[in-house]
Amino acid sequence: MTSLKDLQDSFQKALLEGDPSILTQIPDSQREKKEELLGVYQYAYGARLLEFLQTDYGNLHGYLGDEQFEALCNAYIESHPSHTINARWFGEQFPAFVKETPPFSDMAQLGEIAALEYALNSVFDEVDERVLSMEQLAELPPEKWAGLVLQPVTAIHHLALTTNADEIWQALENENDPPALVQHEETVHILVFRYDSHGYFRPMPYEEAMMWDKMVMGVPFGVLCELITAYGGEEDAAMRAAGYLQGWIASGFIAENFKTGDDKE
Amino acid sequence: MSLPSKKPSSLGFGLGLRPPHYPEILGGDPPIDWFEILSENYMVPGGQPMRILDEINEKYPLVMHGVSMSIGSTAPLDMDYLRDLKKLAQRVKPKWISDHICWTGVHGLNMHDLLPLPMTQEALDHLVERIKQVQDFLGQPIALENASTYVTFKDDEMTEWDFINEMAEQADCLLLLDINNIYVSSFNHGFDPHTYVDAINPDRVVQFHLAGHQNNGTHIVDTHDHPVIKDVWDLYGRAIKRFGPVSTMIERDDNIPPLDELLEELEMARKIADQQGVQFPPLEHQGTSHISQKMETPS
Repeated sequence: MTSLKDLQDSFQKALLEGDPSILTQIPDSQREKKEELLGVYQYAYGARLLEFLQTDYGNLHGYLGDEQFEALCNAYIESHPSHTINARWFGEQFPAFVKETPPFSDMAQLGEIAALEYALNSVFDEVDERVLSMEQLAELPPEKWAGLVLQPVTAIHHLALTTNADEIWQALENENDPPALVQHEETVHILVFRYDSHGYFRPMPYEEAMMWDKMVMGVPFGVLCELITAYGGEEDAAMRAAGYLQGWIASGFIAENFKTGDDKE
Repeated sequence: MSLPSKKPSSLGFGLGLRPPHYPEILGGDPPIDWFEILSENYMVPGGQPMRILDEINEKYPLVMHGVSMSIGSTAPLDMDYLRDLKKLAQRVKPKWISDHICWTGVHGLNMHDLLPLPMTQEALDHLVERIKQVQDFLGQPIALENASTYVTFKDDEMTEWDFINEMAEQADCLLLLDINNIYVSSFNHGFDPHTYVDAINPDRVVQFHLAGHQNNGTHIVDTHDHPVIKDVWDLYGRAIKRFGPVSTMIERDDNIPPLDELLEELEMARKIADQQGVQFPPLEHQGTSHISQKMETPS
């Protein structure tokens, strides 16, 4: 008798590699050959994983069409067997895969559309957090502002795009024909965030994007102001930095817990 | 014979909770006694799924139904999964937690399918030991569901119904009988579904699933994307007569129709229970019992 462990190893190999060894353990049914019956599981394996990717990357699917999208997905499924118990995370590596895998990597917009779709899906069910209010920040003594270290909420992603992937995605989302590809001369930044339970994105000027990235890295507010000054000039630098900060707080992008320079870790 | 110390009482007639129906469920008062949630859909950090789950949990009794426990796998139990499941259960406080008699992968991989177990003593012993471990960890009995299967194994030593009865008895767990799955497996493997229903120990059964499938002529695939067929309704009639007022629900996983269509199917289940003379006890949960609310039934 085949052990349960060997049987499961063999069955899984039939699904992953098409290895027919398990057929020696399976009888025909009254109506059907065992190859066909095992084929139900083999087909379901690929079909289910494809469905997960179709659900998560619907606009990339629309952009590429069925044939190319399925070829891309099948390559991903073959190289990324699922390690997750939850379908929600099966496609986590998909944007990176699209970006790195020829011939899809030759079309930068594909990886960027995928990254945007992943970010929008991610913010949808990210953790709920208390956010910082202007009133809380107003209570901070002036001498502590320079050491202020802010932290973004989890449900937010900064994406740097080299193409008009955001416009392509938006057109597809609105069921319009996608615009022609535009390769940007300079990287364009967008911020993907959650508002009222849904995912949105907005463009971010380069200066704001730089300040955002440094803030995420834990750079204190005083240093952020110096960077703004160095980038955009001294005139109204403090106003610009305060403006960005105010916008982030008003939008609920900053978590309630902040640190000041004299906080103990 | 040992019995689960606390077999949960019947909840009446419910539905699988599916996102397309959220607005109608939250905005109205559809005649549904309870909902079954897919546990994995709510094992996420937060956001809209959790907010809606909390809202629905305030209005309706919930049970949790998972697909990833892989209780029959020879791989070690996934304790991270079980911790997350327990955490969700602490939030939801479900009437019970269920999963499937199957395995979903080995070597750290997940095939995202309910894969068949051989009906052998070795598999039974393995399953019983794992169910006990899970029940100890969760601190409550779990209900396990018969999965639809497309293959059997040459080494099978017993019938599926004997296997399931033994499993429930030895592990002291509950059973979720999927009436459609019994029908599907009976067609695929050439046994009489009535024999199956008549053999299962009624004392263990806490829930029925009813669903549709796709008949490919030589075999049936359990797609859960069609209405319940007449043969399955007939089998449900036999089951409800034998098992009494067991919590019953329609399980639609794909090709999700408008809520009204599922309510019609649910009303059909009520009608069949009524025809079989099965009286459901008054519901324990707060709010209105919907059992007496009648709707038009399919002709």
